[in-house]
Amino acid sequence: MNNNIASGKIPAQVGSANERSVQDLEFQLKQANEELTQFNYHVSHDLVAPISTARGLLHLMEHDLTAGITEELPELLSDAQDQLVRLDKLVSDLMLLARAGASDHHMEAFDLRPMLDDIVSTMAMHVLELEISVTLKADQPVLTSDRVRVQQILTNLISNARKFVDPEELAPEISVTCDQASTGICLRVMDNGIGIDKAIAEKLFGLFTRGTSQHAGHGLGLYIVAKHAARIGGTVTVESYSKPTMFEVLLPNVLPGSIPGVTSEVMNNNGKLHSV
Amino acid sequence: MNGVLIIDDNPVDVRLQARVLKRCSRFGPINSASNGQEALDILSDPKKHNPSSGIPPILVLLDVNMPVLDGFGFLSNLQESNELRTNYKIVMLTSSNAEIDRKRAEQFDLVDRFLVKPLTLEDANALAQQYLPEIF
Repeated sequence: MNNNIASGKIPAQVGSANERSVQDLEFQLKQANEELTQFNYHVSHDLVAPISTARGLLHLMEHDLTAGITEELPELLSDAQDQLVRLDKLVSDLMLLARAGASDHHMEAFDLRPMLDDIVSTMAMHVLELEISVTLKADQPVLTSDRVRVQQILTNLISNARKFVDPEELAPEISVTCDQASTGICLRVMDNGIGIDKAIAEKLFGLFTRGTSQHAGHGLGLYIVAKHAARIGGTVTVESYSKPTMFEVLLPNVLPGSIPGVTSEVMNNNGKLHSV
Repeated sequence: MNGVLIIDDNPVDVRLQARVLKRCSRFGPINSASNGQEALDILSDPKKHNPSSGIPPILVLLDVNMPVLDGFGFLSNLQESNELRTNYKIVMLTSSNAEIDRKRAEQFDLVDRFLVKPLTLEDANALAQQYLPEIF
């Protein structure tokens, strides 16, 4: 693979401004095509895989029923159901990915506290017989940004933290912090889980990058996070790989008055710290 | 000498293939690895595949798409290591019928067959007939 495409770096350019502009466009087009090719390959595989497994399980159930073998039927049925759940999750992720790629965004003021409540309520925080504590620390929990995208960013980061909990950690926790300054909004999601393998650091936010076999997802979650952040002029980086694992999302600040309906009173709302 | 090593990151696929092979009743100890790296580790020491006999597998069922080290990465590593290349046959078993995967598999002399999932009883019987002829 072209290293420039993999690294996202634009090759050295020569010639006039117009020539450089054409070179930039050609590079971006090449990068987009490469991404699309990879995407098509992985999606077609990930869509087919659970279907073929479910077919195999049904074929085996048919054989067993014919032969009068029933001991493994409950397990075979359960496995077949798992494959459909997996397929359903991929379809949902693909729809989220499509929304992440959309160019529209809607800036509004919103409070992180009920947002975090919503996110946590959709996930079981009781994992491996451990209760994961999720906390928010924000002197100014009201942000002005794209609420839907920020919610998706936090959902995916918290979901990952939950997925990679350390089974030997007696007090697993996920903490979300928010700092606002004139320079921008800084959201951090930290956890004391098993951490991130530095070997995959370079492609962590790439398409279909999966962490381990044991915690297999489709590898779209962080890609979606990066896409959402980029769409609203922000960035997401890993600031720490282990104990804690820390993702940092930087979003541009929006001044009151620049967005209709956003007043100084809303922007200066100092809510109390909120624990979930 | 009829053991099988299943290399696949999806535990459901591993269970399915193991059940099919068992119903075929011609294959022996079945072991699994969740990625190419784990598989190389097992193959480097036959006792890891079969602690009681120390006999390496006769057949390897190899998936393509796996984290850490995928199927083609496993084959590349194997190609470079004479110590790991014993008498087992490698069957690439993947969900993907993509031409690109077939063509890539053909570049490796190590791959004996390319099958598309799911592994059926008919497939398992055909593999037994091909690789365990003394039983027939």
